[in-house]
Amino acid sequence: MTKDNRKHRLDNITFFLNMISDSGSLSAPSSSKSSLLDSTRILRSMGLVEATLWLRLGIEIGFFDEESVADDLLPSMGDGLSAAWSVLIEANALSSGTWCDFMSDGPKPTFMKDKFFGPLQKKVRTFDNLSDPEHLAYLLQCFLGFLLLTSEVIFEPSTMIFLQSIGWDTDDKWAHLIRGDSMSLEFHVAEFNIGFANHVQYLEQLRKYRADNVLFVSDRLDSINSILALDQKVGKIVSQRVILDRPHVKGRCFKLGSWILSIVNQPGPEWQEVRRSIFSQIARITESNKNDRPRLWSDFINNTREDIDRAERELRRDFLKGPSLAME
Amino acid sequence: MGQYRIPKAIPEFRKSYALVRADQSADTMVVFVHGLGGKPTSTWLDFHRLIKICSVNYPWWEKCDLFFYSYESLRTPIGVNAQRLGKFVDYILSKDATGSLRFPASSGKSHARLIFVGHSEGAVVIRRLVLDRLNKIEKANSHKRNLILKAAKADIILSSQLRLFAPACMGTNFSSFLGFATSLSHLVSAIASSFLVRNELLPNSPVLRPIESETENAHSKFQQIPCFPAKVLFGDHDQVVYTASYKCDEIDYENGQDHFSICKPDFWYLRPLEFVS
Repeated sequence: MTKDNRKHRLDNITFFLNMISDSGSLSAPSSSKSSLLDSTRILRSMGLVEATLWLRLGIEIGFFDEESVADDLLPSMGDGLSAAWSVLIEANALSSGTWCDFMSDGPKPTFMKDKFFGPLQKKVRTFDNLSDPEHLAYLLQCFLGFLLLTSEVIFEPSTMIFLQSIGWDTDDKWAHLIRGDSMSLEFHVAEFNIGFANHVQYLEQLRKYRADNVLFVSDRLDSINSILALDQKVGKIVSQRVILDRPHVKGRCFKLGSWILSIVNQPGPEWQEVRRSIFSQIARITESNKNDRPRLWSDFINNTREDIDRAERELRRDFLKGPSLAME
Repeated sequence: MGQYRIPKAIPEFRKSYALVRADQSADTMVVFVHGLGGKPTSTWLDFHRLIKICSVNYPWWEKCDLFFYSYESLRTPIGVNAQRLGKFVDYILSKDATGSLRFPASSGKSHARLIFVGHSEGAVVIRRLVLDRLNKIEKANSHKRNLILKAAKADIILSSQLRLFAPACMGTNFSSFLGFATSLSHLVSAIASSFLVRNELLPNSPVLRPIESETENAHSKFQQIPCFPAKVLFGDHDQVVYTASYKCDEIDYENGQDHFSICKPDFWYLRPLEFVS
């Protein structure tokens, strides 16, 4: 390894910390009672573990410096990871038992360094073509793209608020939140919708980026395997935040879509086109079965009508109350 | 395959970052400014890969360091964002605490050439910035033409060139909330349409109108200053902004592209690479 390469790998760690972490997010999930922190506690915990998985993958393909991660970074992350893992277990937030293999079981989980480095020390590595500089450069480029896309959502407050709420709030709290009639002032109602849009956009772009990565090396069979392996590993890392395909979340997702449509309701073909497009987008990201789509579409249309009726009733009520009362 | 670029975070400006030549051989800085509700990577990611893969056909990019500016685009007024963008450019050209240039160019000095690439609202922010910079220079030089031209020549922002994808300079089409007919960003658009900046981007708004008149005036008054006329590219399926621009601009249209895809190159659509250069 050249001196320059090592410097780049060290610089990449600094880059990672700056881009991924936000206001100390690579430390323990805060025990503060602040409602905003509480509203994102599960997602902050998930983000911390996810960031650690990104670190490991980055070491594996030579994007990060292994020694520096082991000696300088991981020791300061241990307590945070333990606390984060406890939060995730307590909230029953994980859909897969194989997502993360470096946290111990039990009431006081700990970070297991040997497990973290285990896959990196295997003789047969996943990426077996790293001596080809052109291939390596492309692989690093793909990894960087994934990392940058993720950096835009992983600790982004509105995305975290949205995901935690859609995933773990009670039905009652969820319904109040999406209609904006919750008493809580912990965040702007619009943040919630922005979080939804961010998350959907992230999933769509990830899907497109993954497809393009393969496309660009389709003439090099030796590279395709590595790109597919990278793709598979990235898919596993982000799998826990792709919660929209979980059964109870799917329904909420369609309801939120119909609620947003009711807000921007404007009778006419343009709006109908938007309705169809938003439905298709949600059906795609929730991985809804194609056979179920006619029923889902019918429910979606009915929900949207109900939401529009409700919005119009509220508008009429405000109008009848008059401006002075509405101001109160 | 082109040369490797090193990623560098610029945390002083939200999630802005740079991809700079490892061998410090660039002489041009390209500053990418996303649009309403956008983000630097989700808007410009396709440039990262394409300029590297297609470097043989587009060698011009090999001389460039790329800067991806991140800003709050929904609630922060355009004037404020323009001011911050100016600070961002100044920051890139500045020295750190040790006296070293933060981003040295091939000359060992700072970059000699700047190209702004804006999408949608980003284009408006850029145009406000160049006008503000001119106003500042005019005042500092007591409105004396020769002094202004001399100062403008030395100012990298006023010497910059503008490449605008689907600029919202003549206003957005979402006065009715639903000027959106693209697939990927329906949700983003529907949600974004309810935010403050939406009003600033309505046609003839008190923010857009002065930018148009001041730009046209500045161009007719100072033809030597290159940053007032822009190269503009719209998709023929754009239903988010009015597909028109200023008299001084050079406008073109691309078949089959919409408001969002217009600035996203791929193997079958390499025009953005050519357009910026």
